[in-house]
Amino acid sequence: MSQLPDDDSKFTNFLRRHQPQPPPASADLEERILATIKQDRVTQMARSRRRSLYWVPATIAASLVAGLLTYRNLMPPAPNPNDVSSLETFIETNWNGTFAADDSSDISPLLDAVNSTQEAG
Amino acid sequence: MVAVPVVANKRPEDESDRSLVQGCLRGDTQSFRLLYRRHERRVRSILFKLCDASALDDLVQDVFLRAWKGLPKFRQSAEFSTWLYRIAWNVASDYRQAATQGRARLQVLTQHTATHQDAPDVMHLHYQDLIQRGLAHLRFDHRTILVLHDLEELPQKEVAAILEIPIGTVKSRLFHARAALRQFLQQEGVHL
Repeated sequence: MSQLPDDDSKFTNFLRRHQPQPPPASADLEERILATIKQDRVTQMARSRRRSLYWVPATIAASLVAGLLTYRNLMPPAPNPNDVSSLETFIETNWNGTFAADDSSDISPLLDAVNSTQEAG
Repeated sequence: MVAVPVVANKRPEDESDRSLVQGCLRGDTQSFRLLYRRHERRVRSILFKLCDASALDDLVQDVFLRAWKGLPKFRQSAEFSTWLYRIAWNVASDYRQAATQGRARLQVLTQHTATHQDAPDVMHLHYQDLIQRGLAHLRFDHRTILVLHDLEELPQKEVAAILEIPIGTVKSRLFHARAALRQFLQQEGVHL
């Protein structure tokens, strides 16, 4: 508190000594205030719970869409028939003559498969 | 046998305002009860001197409910008491404004002065009545300064923080408030 001149000190001392006193509070005022606060808390928690439920269907829908998109992106595409044909030609070209004529009994199953594909085509 | 030091638990009433505010923010209403008990008397006293007693309980309730709702916005760096008295001042201002707009008369209290004395001191009651009437005569901003500084004995720095005005303005209003109240008391025959 700042230093007061003498007459101001007397004045403020007088005010403090005879300041009006408030009447006492009602006996139940404290409980009324606390009850209102507790009710307010319950209301707030209920509101917060309702708000969080709004997110559930949105989250489920978003997850389904994300899953579908991921599946589509990661799934390998069906092979192109032209690519299959090129692969067969490559194998035939590179593996032809790998095995000798008297080794025909040991012909690679792969060669058999290539030959059978050619015969079918 | 190993001696285990026993740490005494802090009594709830010894917890600082800051700690109790933290408790309230976690939803602990008991912390708020302790804050209420700690500050209720001063809040009540401020409201009584700024308004009147007819709605005092309602005004006190209003202050503490606003405080509860406003806690999430309370800046932890500030003093809780300063913030709470600011709310009390806002409630008093709103009440007075509503009373003026509703053309309700502010009641001068002569009946609700000290009731706790065994042998009523008549002069004391008379002076209390005079001061209450004198306060009612002051401009609201002067009355506020006088109540907070001279009667509630809050330092000028805190008064400035509560009212969000410069300390210079506090000093100036205090000077004028004292002069006006002194003049009123002199007119009523009290010379200091």
